[in-house]
Amino acid sequence: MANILIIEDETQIRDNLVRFLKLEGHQVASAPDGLVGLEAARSSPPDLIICDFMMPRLNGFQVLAALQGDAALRAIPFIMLSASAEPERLQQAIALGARAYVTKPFQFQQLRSLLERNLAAP
Amino acid sequence: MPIDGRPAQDLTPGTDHILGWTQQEALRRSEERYRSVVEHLGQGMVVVQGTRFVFVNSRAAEIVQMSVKEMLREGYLHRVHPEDRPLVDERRRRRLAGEDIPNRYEIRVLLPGGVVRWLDIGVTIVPWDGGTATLTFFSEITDRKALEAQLKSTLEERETILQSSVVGIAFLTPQGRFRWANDAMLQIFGVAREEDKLVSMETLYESREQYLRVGTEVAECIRKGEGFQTELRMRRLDGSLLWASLSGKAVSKLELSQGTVWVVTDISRRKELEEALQKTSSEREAILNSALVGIALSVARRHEWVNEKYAEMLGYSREDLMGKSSVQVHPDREMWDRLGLEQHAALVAHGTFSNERQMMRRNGEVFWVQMSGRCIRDRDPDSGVIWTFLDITERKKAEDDIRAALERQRELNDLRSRFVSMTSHEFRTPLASILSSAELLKDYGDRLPPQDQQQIIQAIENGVHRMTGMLERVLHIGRMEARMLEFKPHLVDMQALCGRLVDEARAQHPATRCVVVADFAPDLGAGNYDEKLLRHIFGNLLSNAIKYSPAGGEVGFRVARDAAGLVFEVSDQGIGIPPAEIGHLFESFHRASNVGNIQGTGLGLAIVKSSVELHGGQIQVHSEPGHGTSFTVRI
Repeated sequence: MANILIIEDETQIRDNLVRFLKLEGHQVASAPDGLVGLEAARSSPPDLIICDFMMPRLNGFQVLAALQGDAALRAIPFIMLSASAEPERLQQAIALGARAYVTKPFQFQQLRSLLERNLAAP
Repeated sequence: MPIDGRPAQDLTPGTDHILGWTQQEALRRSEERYRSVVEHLGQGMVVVQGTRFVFVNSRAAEIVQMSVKEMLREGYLHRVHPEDRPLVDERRRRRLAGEDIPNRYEIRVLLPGGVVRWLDIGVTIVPWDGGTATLTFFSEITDRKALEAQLKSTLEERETILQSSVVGIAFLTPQGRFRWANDAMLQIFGVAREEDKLVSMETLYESREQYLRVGTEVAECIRKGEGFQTELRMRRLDGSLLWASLSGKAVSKLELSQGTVWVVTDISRRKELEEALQKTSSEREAILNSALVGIALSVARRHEWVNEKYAEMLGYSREDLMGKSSVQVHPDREMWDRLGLEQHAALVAHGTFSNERQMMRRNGEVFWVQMSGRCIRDRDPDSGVIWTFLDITERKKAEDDIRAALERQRELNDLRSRFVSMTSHEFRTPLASILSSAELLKDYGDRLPPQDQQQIIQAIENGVHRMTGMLERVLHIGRMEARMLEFKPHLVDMQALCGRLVDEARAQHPATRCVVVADFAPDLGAGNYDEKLLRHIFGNLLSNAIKYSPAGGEVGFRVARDAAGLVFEVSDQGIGIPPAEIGHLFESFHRASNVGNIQGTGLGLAIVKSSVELHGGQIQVHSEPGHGTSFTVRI
């Protein structure tokens, strides 16, 4: 049981992620863009963040960089979702501090194992 | 009265015969008067009848240093210089014999003490005492003779000087005839034989035309009181040609009738050398002029000499450049000054300088040259610099073309990577939606409320539509590039279509903060259009207007009719387009640099343009970054 924040601008993907995580038994909050998502993370720090890359206002990298710059939020596991399969972007995400980089379209099984791995040992 | 030793024929003692003897007294008085006149005459006067002196005046006795009496008794023949005595004797004998002999001559008398005097003698026959006698007047001309001798010697000296001059000297009459010429002059024109004479200058000219032409010029100069000088081809008496230097002037500027004096030099040899030199230079110049590179000799940054090619590449004539500063062939003075410092430093340090730079043609056109210079004297730019110029405009252009091609290649690579990233995003996003929906239904279908199930199925449908739309766009572009797009018009109710397009745009962007304002003229009516293409055009323009106005604002869609057809305007108050990128706006996959995180394929406007063109219409764009954009389409 964990508090998970979804930051994703594509409504249908966001809705499906919320449904999936709830059905998996988690507490889920969601945000439609990077700026709202960052504010949500600050006001109520979650146990894990799943964040899209390409979004209006702040993109995934900008959100990640802001979190890493905040001592209180730096340790929150950050999983990046992206429609881009370019290796440079993956490397950049990992270098910025993301725990994982998931390429769209994803399968729920991938997310399940990532959640297990990143939520097990705080 | 007798003057200057000229005998007065009527003043003779013999005239008393004519007067007659009846007037003895009158005659005696008259004779007194004559005697007085004769006695006081400045000239010596003697009358000799036969060998007897019958009359002697006192001046005559005085000249030969005798008394009148002595002279009447002895005559003066013994006083005549021994060298002249035979002449006097002979003249007298012949005169008395009635021969016609000169009645004027000059003789010398030898006076006591060895003094020689010159006498000018005038003799005439007069009647005397019923017979004839010789009347002789004489005057002393010793002083005149001395002056004459002096003058003669001066003239002789002068003539000797003129004669011995190595240059030809001649005096001509105003009519151009020879008055006098020295030996050198005769030699120059080959007057070797006695019978050859220089008469007129004309024979010495190459042609009559030349003679007349020069004559006119000379006359003009002389009239103006100036000297005349020329070098010309002339002709010797034997017909051979020579080069002569002529210089002439009036003997007297005030009295032109005194003719002209000329100095003539044979300059054939010098001319030959000059011609040989000229020929050598000409050959060299011909070689340099036939060079395909521009060549210039520059001294103190002035063109001393330039070849044909150099002038040609700059659009000047060689005369325009030679003697002029090189500043005129450089784009501006500042560049010229800078080049001067740069090249001077290099020439002093290395003796050579080479670089590529722009020069300016006469018509203002700027072009590229490679210029290389070398000092005439090693490392001494002041001694002059030989420059060569190679027009490298073509090479530069080729370089620019290659650069442009590389740039284009880079753009294409960017485009390709944008295409890959765009298509991957645009396909992966709906695929993620579809896959996650499918998994939810499969894994948790029984636990989902019916309403969620419906939404999930709808998400699958939306994802499929989105992918289909994407596929169509890519295919449209593909057909467009392959020029396979078709225009299929049919009757379309414009009012209704435009209304639907606005509704669809609103529906596509439910979260927009924009207000879409439609303004359709009432007379749009119906017309033959390709509805599919119109949907591409205005669907894309309206969708873009909303998408690129993240802060909201008004999106206007105005449609009106004018004389030429329909005018559509789609405007927004969004982020706008950077002016530099307007040119690339309608290129496939091109997206402006200021789109940030706003998603898009970069295909919309390429499709819009091709669709407008298929309708035979035009599209214009006006945009201000930060203020908005408006597209005007005329169909």
